[in-house]
Amino acid sequence: MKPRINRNVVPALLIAAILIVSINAWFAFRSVAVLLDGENWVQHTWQVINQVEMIMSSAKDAETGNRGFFITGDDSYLYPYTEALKELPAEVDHIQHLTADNQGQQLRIVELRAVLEQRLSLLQQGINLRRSGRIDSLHAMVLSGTGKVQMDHLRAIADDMEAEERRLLLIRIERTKSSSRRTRATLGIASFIDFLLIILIFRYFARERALRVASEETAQRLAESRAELETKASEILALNKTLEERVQLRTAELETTNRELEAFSYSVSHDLRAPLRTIDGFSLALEEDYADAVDAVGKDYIKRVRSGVQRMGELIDALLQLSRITRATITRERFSLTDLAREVAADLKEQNRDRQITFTIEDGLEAEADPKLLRVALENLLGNAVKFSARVPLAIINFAWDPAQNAWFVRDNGAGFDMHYAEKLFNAFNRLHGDKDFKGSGIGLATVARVIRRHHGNIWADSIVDHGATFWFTLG
Amino acid sequence: MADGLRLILLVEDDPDHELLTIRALKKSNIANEVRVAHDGAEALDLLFGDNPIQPQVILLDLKLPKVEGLEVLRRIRENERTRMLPVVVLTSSDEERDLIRSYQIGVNSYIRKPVNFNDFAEATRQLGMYWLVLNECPPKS
Repeated sequence: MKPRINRNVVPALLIAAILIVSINAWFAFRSVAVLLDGENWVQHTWQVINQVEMIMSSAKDAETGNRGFFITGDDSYLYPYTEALKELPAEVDHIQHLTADNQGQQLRIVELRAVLEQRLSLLQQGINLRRSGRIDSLHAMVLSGTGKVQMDHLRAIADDMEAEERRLLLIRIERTKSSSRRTRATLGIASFIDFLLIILIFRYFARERALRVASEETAQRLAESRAELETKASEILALNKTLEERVQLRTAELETTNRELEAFSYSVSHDLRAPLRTIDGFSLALEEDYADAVDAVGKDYIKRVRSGVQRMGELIDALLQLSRITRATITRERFSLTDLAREVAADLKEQNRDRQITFTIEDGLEAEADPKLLRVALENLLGNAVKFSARVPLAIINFAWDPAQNAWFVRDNGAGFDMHYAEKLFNAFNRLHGDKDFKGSGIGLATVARVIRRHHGNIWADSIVDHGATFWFTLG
Repeated sequence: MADGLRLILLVEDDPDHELLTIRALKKSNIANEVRVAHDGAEALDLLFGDNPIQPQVILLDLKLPKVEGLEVLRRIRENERTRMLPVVVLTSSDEERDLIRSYQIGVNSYIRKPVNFNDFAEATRQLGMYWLVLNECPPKS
């Protein structure tokens, strides 16, 4: 997310910076221009004042020169006058031009020009009178005081003009001062903003650089960790290979063991039964053929030998069943557990015709399992229920689905067992009841557990002594 | 050809079982002559040797020295002369694969010898009654 924001920020920042710098430059230029303009005006005012004084000085020079000529009649005194005569119109034109912007001054200049002309023409009259030698007339003219009046008038106009200019000067100096202050402030602010901008841009670029460095470092680290990962992956691959090899080896070993076990159980089924049958056969022959030679105690012994043989035969059968279940390949199919349980129950009722047994088997139970192995499991579970309820007058055995436990269950109202030994229940040859109480091989429940486990299911039990037992099971 | 039409061939390596089987047959009042072969090779020799016998029924144990019971069965079924002979497998093994294999090769009956001798004697009696008295054998070639 961040890099995208930065991409948009860079041109925006650049445009903003250019704009700000341009505005600042414009303000600075404008301030300087205003300042220069102000200074020009000040200078201009001075120029006007100088010009007024120059005019006045020319006028006075003309006056002074004339006075000398009037007294002496010497033409050399007229030089300032003739000079003034030549220069004054230009000087007045100049000042008129200079003060073109000021209506008041222009009016004064018109007046000035008129008074000057009068003054100069009066001076010319005086010169003419002196040349023609009419000294009296000249004398009278000078004494009339007209010249002085004119000169005073002239001086008054000049003073007015100068006063006006000085007033303007004050205003303009003030304006220049404030303009200079403004310029300084503007330049200061502009410089400050530029400085700020530079700092901001610098900081931005510093951050950008830090980010770039950081991302480069991250990339570097990423590359390193990727390399590490690749090494690890190849290690894992190698390990997997070794593991696979090991698994193959172990599988081969297991297969060999299995074959050996198979051979063993085959030989158990055949070779262990054979001598048993011999023992049983010959003890029976002894009983039958030599009945006279054997007394009651001897017959009892023979009976005991034969029952021992029977028991061993049953044990071998149970063991074989257990080992066969371990080796069997499971072929799952959908079938009715209800039907299977009813068949097994019918067999059990047939085998225990002398007893009162009520089987309650829920309708519609179905399972996806190996029917042959499930038959073995149910034979053992229901058989157990029948066996351990032998002491109650009416055995009630229930097979149903328990929604609470999400499992099937077989429940009886028989002897039950002590929950303290519950964990031994499913181990081969671990029995919770003595043979004198209940006959058994101690393999039945181990066989059931093996069937359930081979289906990836679970089996567990609950019981209270003398209040029956419940066995739940699931089928993976 | 051996004398007596109702000859029984018992193939059994265990002398005790041989004795007990013969006793059980006698107790069941089956008086037929019993020829005993103590291993597979001897059985084959009796059946296919210089003086071959033609028994009424063959009681065959599966686990035998030298030649296995199943191999003996296979050889009996392969031979034109003995192909139709009734063969009953009598074995201690209740391995399913033995049962299946026996029927695949063509056994007529498969009986697991019970440990309880009373049961065994009863099985032998029924066996004798069925194969020697009730069953109609194919005509001799």
